[in-house]
Amino acid sequence: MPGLTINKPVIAVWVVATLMLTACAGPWNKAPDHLHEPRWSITSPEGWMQLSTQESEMLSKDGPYLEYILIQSRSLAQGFRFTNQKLEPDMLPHEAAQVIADNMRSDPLIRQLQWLASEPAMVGGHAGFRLIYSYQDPYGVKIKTIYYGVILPDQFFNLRYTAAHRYYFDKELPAFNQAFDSLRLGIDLKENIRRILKTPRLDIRSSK
Amino acid sequence: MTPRHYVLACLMLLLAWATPVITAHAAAPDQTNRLWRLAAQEQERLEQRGVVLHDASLSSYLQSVAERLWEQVSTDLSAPTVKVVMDPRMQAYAFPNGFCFLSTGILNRIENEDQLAMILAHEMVHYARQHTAALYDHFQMASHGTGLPYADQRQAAGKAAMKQKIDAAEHQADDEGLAILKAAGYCETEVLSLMSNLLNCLQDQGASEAVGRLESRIKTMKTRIGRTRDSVSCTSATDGDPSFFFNRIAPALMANAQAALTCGNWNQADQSISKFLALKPDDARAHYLKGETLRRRNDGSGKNQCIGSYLKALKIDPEFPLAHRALGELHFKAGRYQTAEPYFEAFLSLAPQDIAREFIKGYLSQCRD
Repeated sequence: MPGLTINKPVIAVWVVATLMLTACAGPWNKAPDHLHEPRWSITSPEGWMQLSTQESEMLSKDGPYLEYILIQSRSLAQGFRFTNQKLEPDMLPHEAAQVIADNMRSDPLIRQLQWLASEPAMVGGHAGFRLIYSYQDPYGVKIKTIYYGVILPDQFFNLRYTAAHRYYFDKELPAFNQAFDSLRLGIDLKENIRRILKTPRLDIRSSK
Repeated sequence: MTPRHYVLACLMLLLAWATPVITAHAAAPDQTNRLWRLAAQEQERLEQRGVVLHDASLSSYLQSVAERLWEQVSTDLSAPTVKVVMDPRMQAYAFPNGFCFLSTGILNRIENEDQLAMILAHEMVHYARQHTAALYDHFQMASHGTGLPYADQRQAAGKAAMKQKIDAAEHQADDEGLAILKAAGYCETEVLSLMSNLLNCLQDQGASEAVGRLESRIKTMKTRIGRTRDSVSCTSATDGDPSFFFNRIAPALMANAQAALTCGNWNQADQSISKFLALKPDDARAHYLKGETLRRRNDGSGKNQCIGSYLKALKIDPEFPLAHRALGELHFKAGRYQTAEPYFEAFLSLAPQDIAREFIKGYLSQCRD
């Protein structure tokens, strides 16, 4: 790997990645070209693997400890792991971003959390937000994440790219950007109109 | 009570990393070194998470109470250092290297210096007696020297022995802590109020196991305090001035309100910030946090009240940017774009580097359209 000096953190990444890949070997499959769910669709990066769960779809090329894309559509009523906060249908994008950020801040395993960006973004054609943050995981490895989120009438859709900051984040960023650009969100038209009438609609360009 | 959880959690953490076979006699000094090193690492982790509250006046006050108590402890160990962690949960714990951590959540529940002194005295005993190290040694011996043939049997025996040892350590910390408290001139009668208060909090949280253990300790404590009540002579610094203590811990109340907001614990955030405002009614940030609590609780009753709190913040400090932002957001969401506009403009002017600025620029653009 050009430009990569092997040192302790890198060895740690490989060891943990090997363990995780071994542990997760069963459910991983080759990702199809297109992932379709009732409310969203996305084009998978070429050659990536897919792990489907009831709550989310995960894509990874080299193993989830090195990099992954997580796509999730969850009920607004669903609580968060580290806080008692809830997302509300009438929240502004940055209020929703704050709820996500507070949950991250409350994660006891995360160290040296740094907020690199919090900004408006168009997510699948809808006004949402983008967070960029980095942190140190319990193994001392610096991790970086780009987190897109948008509140839909009854769902919170989020798409995030997380990777080891060193080497992997930049390496697979173009693949993530392509996947993000391919995202389509389909919402029930009646619900959407109701929401537009209820809250001010934003017209904010993606700052990706 | 929470310290017990922390002893256990600390030990569990250590056990997860422990090497499989250690002979107790030969390894004891190494284990102590290891415990101290791990304690330092854990403290570093707390610092790196940004949850340690750094406030010089609060630290100085807590340290003065700790030193008054420490004078009554006969030990060669150096005096403990008291730190505060921004966490709305009720926590107090002592690391084996002498660092005692109190959460803002427990400080929020304490009513006077005597109660604070009891918590510190209790934690000091854990430190002075090196309970964590002793428990660790004991667990090593119990898990390897029971003579039981199967791992699950050894584990069960180890857990039972550990529970007994922890109970004994807690009772010792209560007994000796009470003696230190009295010797330092604090009022021991406040201990029962403290424990009763903590018990109510645990009951509210539905922590049934912890409630049972605390009830047992309260019973023991009642018999001890009842025996000596008549001879008590209190010289607490809070005598005659109930607000003295709250003024000293005010920074912790503010921090607890913020931490409780982050966790979505609206009731505790409201309680902390209301206490703070009773002491310092002219603090713009406190009124802003009160407004945030009312707004984010989102129970339908707080919308208009929160506007009042934000406006109070601006009356006290017209250049407090977050109150401008909050008012702008409220008016924007209600479709009152013309009213929202000057608030957003003021916010961007006062806090041009705020992380939310790009959002606010977008909303402002909407208002102008």
